[in-house]
Amino acid sequence: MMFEFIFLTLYLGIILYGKIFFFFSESAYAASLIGKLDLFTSIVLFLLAIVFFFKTRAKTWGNNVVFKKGKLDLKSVATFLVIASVIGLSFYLNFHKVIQEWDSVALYDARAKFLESGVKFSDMTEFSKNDEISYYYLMYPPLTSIAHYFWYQLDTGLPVSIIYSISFLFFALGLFLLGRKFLGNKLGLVLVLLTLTNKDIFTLSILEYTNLPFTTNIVFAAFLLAEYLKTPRWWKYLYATLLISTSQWIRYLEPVWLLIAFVFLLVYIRRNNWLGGFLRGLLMVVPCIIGYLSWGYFTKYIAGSPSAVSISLKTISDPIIGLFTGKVVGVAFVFVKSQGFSLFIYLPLIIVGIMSLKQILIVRQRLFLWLFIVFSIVFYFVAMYFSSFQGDWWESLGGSIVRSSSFIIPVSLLFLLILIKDITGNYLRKNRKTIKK
Amino acid sequence: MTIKKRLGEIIRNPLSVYLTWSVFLSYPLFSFIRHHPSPLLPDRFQHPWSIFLHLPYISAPLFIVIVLFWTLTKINRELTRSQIISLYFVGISSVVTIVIGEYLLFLGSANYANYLYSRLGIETEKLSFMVSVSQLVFTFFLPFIYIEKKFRKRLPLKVKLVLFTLFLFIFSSLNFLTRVNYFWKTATAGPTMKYGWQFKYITALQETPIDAVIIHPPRDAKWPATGNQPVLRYFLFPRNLVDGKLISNESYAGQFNGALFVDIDPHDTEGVRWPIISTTLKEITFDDENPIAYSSLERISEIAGIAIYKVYFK
Repeated sequence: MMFEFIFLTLYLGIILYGKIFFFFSESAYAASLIGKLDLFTSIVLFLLAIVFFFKTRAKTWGNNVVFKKGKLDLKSVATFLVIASVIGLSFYLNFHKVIQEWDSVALYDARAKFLESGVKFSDMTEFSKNDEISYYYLMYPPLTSIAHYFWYQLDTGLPVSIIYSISFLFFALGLFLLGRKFLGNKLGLVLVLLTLTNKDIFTLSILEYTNLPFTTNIVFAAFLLAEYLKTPRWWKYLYATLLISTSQWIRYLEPVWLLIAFVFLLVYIRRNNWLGGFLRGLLMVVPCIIGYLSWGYFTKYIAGSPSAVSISLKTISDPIIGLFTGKVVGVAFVFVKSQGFSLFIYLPLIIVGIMSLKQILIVRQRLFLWLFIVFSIVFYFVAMYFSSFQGDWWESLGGSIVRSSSFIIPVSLLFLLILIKDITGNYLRKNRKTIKK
Repeated sequence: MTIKKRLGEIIRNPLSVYLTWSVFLSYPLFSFIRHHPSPLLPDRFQHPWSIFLHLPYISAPLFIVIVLFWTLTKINRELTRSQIISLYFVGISSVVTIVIGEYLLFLGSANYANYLYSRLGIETEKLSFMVSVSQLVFTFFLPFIYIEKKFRKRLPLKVKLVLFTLFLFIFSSLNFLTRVNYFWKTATAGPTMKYGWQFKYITALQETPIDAVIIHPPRDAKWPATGNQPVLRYFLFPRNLVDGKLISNESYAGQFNGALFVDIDPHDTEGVRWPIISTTLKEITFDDENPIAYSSLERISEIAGIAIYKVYFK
């Protein structure tokens, strides 16, 4: 418990530091109520989680050993070496890389360079006054650019892309520390191995986009919430909430925070009382709404940037009419094509869930993981469907959707490996009985 | 003996697996022979012999159909020893194919385009197909056969589905190896590969004074990088940039007197000429539609045939 707590505290500490930097560099935002409220909420959640952790820890202080000593298992060592090679490959590629992806250059890294020359985020809208698209620089929240800026301040002489390999290392470490709670050390390593070698996930580590940090936040939050359903500890819940709410300062376009909060509460309320569920819901949703409003307020009222997405009666009525015109079939076709191989992985898991619904309903963490997979796929399909009414460019969204929905991969793997552990456990138990007989 | 029985006999015979899988694997050999003529071989596999080059596409599905027959139908209740040995052969040879195929694909990408074909006569597309099929067979198909045969009656469908998904994950991870090549290409691509041949105009603009005002082409597929203001700003910051699309009338243009622009594709050889300059009428069209009158136009530099102009509007 101690290791993942220290790890998550460090990870969230870095994110909070980025938010504090933003707060103090934007005086108008710092003077606003929503700006103060957002930072205050994040810090309170962070400190409360630490207090709750030590409160829980005090009761069991010295009772549990974190890592049991055991024989060095050859298979685990081999798995570890492969994982290390994959992370090493990411470092090697990023070391030789010059940042060049379109949005990496034009948006994330450009903003870091503007910050270096003393231009604030709120002043960046000014650049676009003689451009056809005027919302570009504030279309995405600031945290990735702030990370680039910090890297340049360190003046290591290494390319900025290295921070994505460092994030990849953090992601792997977090996956193991949180995953082993469900799977044990050996299967925990398998979880890390299969996740990192998935081509969609590995690609994120060599792209200077928001996707890797966003995936990290959502995956850690999902694992923490699943664990909270098994062993309720307030610090896990608070850290999960903080991870979800700060994910909006990394990516703002898709409200995944709403999705994860909805699924968690659905599962929680099923077995607990409504009042407890309501209070927990409030505790999760309120910081998320504050996070959502704060960035929206900053872009619209402080930086004066126009909105990237316009909502009108037409943007709502067109998709409803489209349900009856067969458009949904066309979108489904593009969606399946863009998800490609990943969908072949998710579909059997969804079917397994339906086939063993009775057992899944009993174990809440499994229900949570399974529903999260199902609703995430539905969520991204609906997002693509609605986008198809915004313009002709929607078919090119496929790649972007695959990247931003990458968090489904480790969640699916965790769900799958829990089932595998169960199957092998049952198999061994049966065999032991046979041997005894 | 009926045809059905006869066909069953043929399919059950491990030779059918050896034959289909060996034909599948022999594509590089046929390609090599075709590319390196020998007096002993019939006219470099010209028609009708070139059919051999397409055999991998036919023999791979045939192999899969045969093994599925072994596994899923009652034609073959238990795998015989010789059938198991033939599947071992498939397993080992698929690993060898993956390793050698990956190495060749890496060589192909590390060198010039068409490298594999010009040196060995192997088409990259067909080699990639071979590697993918071998991966699929090794990580997914063979374990599937093993589970199906070993636990057919004992395992419920949902457990089989779970194992099936695990194999898909493993396949996906092994597929990662085929991408290493692509990852390397992406990581080491130069700016021209990323932003196209027009990047040379951006490089030319980098030589202008940092306080210059620069007019650039409108956002359009014709000028993917030079018409994308945020991309331009990354390379030209802190210069002030103006989208040519907005310069549609004299009064708006007037505020940018002394602005610079790069003359893109002046002879229209690539069909992306910008801006349209008429020295006789003393007009320039920046937005692709509306000509704007100018009072003076000065060529301030020309490096490697790329001219940069300074414009004063009326």
